[in-house]
Amino acid sequence: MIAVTADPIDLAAVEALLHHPEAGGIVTFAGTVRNHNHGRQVVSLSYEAYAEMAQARMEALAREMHARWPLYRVVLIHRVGTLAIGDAAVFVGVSSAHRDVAFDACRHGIEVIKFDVPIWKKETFIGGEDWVEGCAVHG
Amino acid sequence: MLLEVRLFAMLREAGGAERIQVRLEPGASVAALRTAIAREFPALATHLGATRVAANLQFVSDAHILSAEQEIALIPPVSGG
Repeated sequence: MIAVTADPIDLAAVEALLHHPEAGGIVTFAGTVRNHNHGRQVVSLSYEAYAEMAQARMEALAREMHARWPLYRVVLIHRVGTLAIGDAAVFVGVSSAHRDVAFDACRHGIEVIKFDVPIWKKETFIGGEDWVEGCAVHG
Repeated sequence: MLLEVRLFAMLREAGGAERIQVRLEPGASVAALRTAIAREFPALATHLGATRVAANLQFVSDAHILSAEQEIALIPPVSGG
């Protein structure tokens, strides 16, 4: 499952998508909204996507991960809209026969999403709101 | 040719619009688009240095040749996750 969605991410449900009888390792990463950033008390985060391109980039990323590592399943999901503290904004999950591959592929997935997928977050904090400084170039 | 360029996030707010129109010579490159936007949209000019350009949902280089049939967008520094 590859998705850019306004719906909440049900972590148990998306983790279940990774199960495979030949998989010996499942690694997942959930990025959640934290209550502080650069010393400011964060109230909420609003995510905006160039949805068509974000979906295309994430589908290309999943193909690249399958080509690079022996993976059974890849799940990439990013929320859009206004999220509260503790909500999952992004989910990356992979399953593979062995743990090394699963850790490497999952780490790669979240790094590419953070650098290369057209999604932006605006932080609402006590006293104002601002776009979060992001990633301008390839990492 | 008249190009429609999509804006997102801080560029959308700085430009006060979700799309801008830019007139360029046929066969113009992304570099020419950047020059035209910097000249015609001063509110966007300061952001352009860190902004990437996408055509048909893919990042393209400054040498990429544009056409009115392509979906063109300015991609400011991303901050997903």
